[in-house]
Amino acid sequence: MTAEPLLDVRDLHVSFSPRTSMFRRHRPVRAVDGVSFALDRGETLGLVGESGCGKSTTARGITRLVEPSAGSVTLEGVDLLGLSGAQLRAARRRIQLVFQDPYSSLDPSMLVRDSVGEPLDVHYRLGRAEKYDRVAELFRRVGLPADYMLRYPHEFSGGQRQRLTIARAIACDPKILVCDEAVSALDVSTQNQIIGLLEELSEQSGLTYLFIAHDLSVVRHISDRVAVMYLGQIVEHGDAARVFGAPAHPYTEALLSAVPIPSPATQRGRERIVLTGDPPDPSHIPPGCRFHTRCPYVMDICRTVAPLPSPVVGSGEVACHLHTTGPQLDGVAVREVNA
Amino acid sequence: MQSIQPVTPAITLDVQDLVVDVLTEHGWATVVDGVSFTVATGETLGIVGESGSGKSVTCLAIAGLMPPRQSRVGATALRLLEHDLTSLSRSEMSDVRGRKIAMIFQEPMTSLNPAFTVGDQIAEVLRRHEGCSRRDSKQRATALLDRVGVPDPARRFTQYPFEFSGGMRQRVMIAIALACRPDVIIADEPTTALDVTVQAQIVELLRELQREQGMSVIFITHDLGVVADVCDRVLVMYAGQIVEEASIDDIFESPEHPYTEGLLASVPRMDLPSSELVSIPGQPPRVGAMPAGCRFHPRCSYRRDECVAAGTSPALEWAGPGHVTRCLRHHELTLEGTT
Amino acid sequence: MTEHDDSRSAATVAEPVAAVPGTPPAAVHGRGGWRNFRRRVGSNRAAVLALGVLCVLILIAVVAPWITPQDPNAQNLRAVLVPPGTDGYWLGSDQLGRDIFSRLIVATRVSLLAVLLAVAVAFVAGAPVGFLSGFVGGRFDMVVMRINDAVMSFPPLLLAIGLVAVLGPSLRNAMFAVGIVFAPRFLRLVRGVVLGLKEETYVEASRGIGTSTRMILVRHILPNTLSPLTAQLAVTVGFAMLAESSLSFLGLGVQPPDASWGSMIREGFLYFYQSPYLGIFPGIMITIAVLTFITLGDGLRDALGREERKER
Repeated sequence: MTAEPLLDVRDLHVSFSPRTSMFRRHRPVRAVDGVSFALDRGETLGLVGESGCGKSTTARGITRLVEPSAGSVTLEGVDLLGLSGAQLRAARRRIQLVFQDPYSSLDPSMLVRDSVGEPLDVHYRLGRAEKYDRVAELFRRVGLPADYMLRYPHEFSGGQRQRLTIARAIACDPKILVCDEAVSALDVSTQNQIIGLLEELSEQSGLTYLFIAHDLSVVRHISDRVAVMYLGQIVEHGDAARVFGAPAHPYTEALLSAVPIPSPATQRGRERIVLTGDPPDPSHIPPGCRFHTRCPYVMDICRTVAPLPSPVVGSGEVACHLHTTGPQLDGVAVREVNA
Repeated sequence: MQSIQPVTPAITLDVQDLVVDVLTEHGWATVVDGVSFTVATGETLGIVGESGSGKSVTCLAIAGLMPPRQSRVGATALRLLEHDLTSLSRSEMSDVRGRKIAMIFQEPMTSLNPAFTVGDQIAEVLRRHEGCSRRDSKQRATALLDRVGVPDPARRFTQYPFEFSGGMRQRVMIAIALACRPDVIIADEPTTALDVTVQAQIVELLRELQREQGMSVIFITHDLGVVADVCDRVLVMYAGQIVEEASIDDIFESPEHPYTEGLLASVPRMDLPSSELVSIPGQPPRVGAMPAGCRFHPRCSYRRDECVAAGTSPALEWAGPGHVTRCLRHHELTLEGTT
Repeated sequence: MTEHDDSRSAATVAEPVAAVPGTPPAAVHGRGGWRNFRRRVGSNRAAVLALGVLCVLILIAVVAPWITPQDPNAQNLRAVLVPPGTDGYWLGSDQLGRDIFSRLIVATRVSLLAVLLAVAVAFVAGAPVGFLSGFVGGRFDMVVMRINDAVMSFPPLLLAIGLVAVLGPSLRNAMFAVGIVFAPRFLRLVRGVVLGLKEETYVEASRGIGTSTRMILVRHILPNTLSPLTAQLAVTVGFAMLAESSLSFLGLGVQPPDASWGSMIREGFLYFYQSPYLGIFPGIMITIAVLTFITLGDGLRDALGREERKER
């Protein structure tokens, strides 16, 4: 571990105030509510959670596509939240995004050559020939033939479009790639090809990923570390093997048990925890522990006092009263509660 | 073409040699090519395949929901219990569709009419198909909402679809589907748009209801985990054809078609330490541009000259009890399943 | 893993050449978009026909002064209201003995120019404001839209008549008024399109790259507003033509002795029982022209429309 992480996110808050209509004033939605994590060079952090938990908003907050209301985002010693205008645009070169929908993330009226080359226009002054050479090289790196450059996005399949958006994202050699559900819209076979590409790029150039996905199997495969979000907060994080092997937060445990395993024998033998209800509406966050309304192990203290993070045996931290008060798990897996 | 008769005597749905053509901008193209299968009473049949494999079209065609002028549907037999679906008029078919076959779609928002309350939409089905009175239908609809696990059904009855979450909307769709106690429910990716925790709830609900009412379920999905969780038997479709059919355990443990093997190998496993992700190279063939010989040969790692030769299009062959495959080499190959 | 891995994995294997089902492989070189556009316009027979008719109309308008068989304003009181087919008067003559055929030809130029003026005014007054309103949003947008709604809530023809009453009756003023009446439609359309585009992921992606707002406007938003605008232009031309006829019919447009199709109908109206063809021929021309523009507008909208998102 290096002394200073590549990206250090501290206590990030993002809130939205929904449109105030003439008759009703809506309360602001705290989509991201105090998220902190760090990313080291070359590692992949998986960020998981159900829809509406704030994982995409976290991605947009870090890259300032939405304005965070508080916190700090330090990339190589520079706080991105303190930058403005031209400085911020220049800094964006180093942290790039890949979005979920490969169908809408490319301008349909532009040749893909120009879409992929757009970052080059923005950040470098290149002659036409040089720029197109660079674009051709990018096409090669993402596994697309260079003679596809003079086509329009609609002529490409979903997987190919995702290759194009990755080519665009790596055009200016970023340090970090934020993949927001980048493979979720693809068929499993195509999805694996894209993941393979991401892994290859990381090996070649030491690219660091913040990999946001709701598909836990994919996250387990690609991530070194995993953070689990629930209602705008990280409830547990740690090494991928530890989080998946011995989840310390009841929510993580339930989330993992809900994923069906593609093996009938294994699936039949699993113990399943079916959570009741939907995740609460982020505009009405429950008091105390946010998960208490659905938690199978809920205690009295959970309804009133918000738990603080405590260390987990193995790696990482968990925010749950089971580990500090209550049955005193002291950082071991939740399944020990019943044992 | 041989028909596959399961051991179970009572057959609810019998489909023989179903062919569906659709009108594309280049003329008619066959998207479902000679699909035959039966569904036994009380059984859950899974249909899996990548997008464009024809799995959804197969079911839309069975339910008589293909657009009349843009598609042609033909079959040597299409029987639901005592009804011959091929001989029914449009209005008779529409009656059967409400009472005998019900459908659940992926996107529960667009399947519900936003202008009517949820209760009205369930009650309307009851009135139209069962000839219930107004009061009776309201009572039964409320009971149905309660049965599918919608909390506070009397109040929810008077609410509009936008007031429901995705999971709750899918429950409403299930309530509508159940309203007339159908013999077959066709569920087309019913859990794909949902979060895993909600998906687990919906799968559990469907399982319970099936046990209770003894109906047959056709479950279309691309998620092999869900298949392993809910299905008794599986059809694997590729490029408009069935390439393999077997019981759930046989498909996963001893697949007899290279495509099935590839699909199984490409699913990342959440319960195992991460390993190299494998993907089937290339893309499925385009509609109207089917390869000669075996349709899977361009992507198959086991292909021989005989697979490529035109005119040797493989037929479905027995590979074991209740297990058929469309592979010329299935006798010589030993394929790997999941553990 | 099995021994077949080598042939099966290779994550970066390029997908086969023809990418999307149903799309013919496009040219590797040259701009595939123009070819696509031509193909799609070409496949719409009505639009092709409309384009042909428009070309003929424009040609007539351009060469009008040289092809009229007679001076369109020359009166001949010995040949008043002669029926069509009379020697020297193919389509008959009007109440002052002027050749209807010749007048129709020169009126083509007047009508087309008038319409061009109206649409240009509507576009210039509406589109930029709509663009700004959509892009800036917030309070500015709210104020602009309220004013816009107020203008739109007037009956269009009445508003035009009012404006002409203030400006004085002449064809130019009439068409200026028509332009003002149509401006809110452009405003609304462009604003709506820009609002939609602002939400597109590729605009967000471009911001994420570090593109400045100005560049995003020029690169992504402006080009993508053009196609719906072009279609709207053509449709508006059709409506403007109707409005011109109506205003001229009311005597607020072209002034005698000049002719537009609308003014010819008005003059013919007085003699409708003696010689109905006075009104019928210009009426037919207006119908043809309006249909042409509306068909063309529909065709353009289809041809320029975004490629439908292919099903995943």
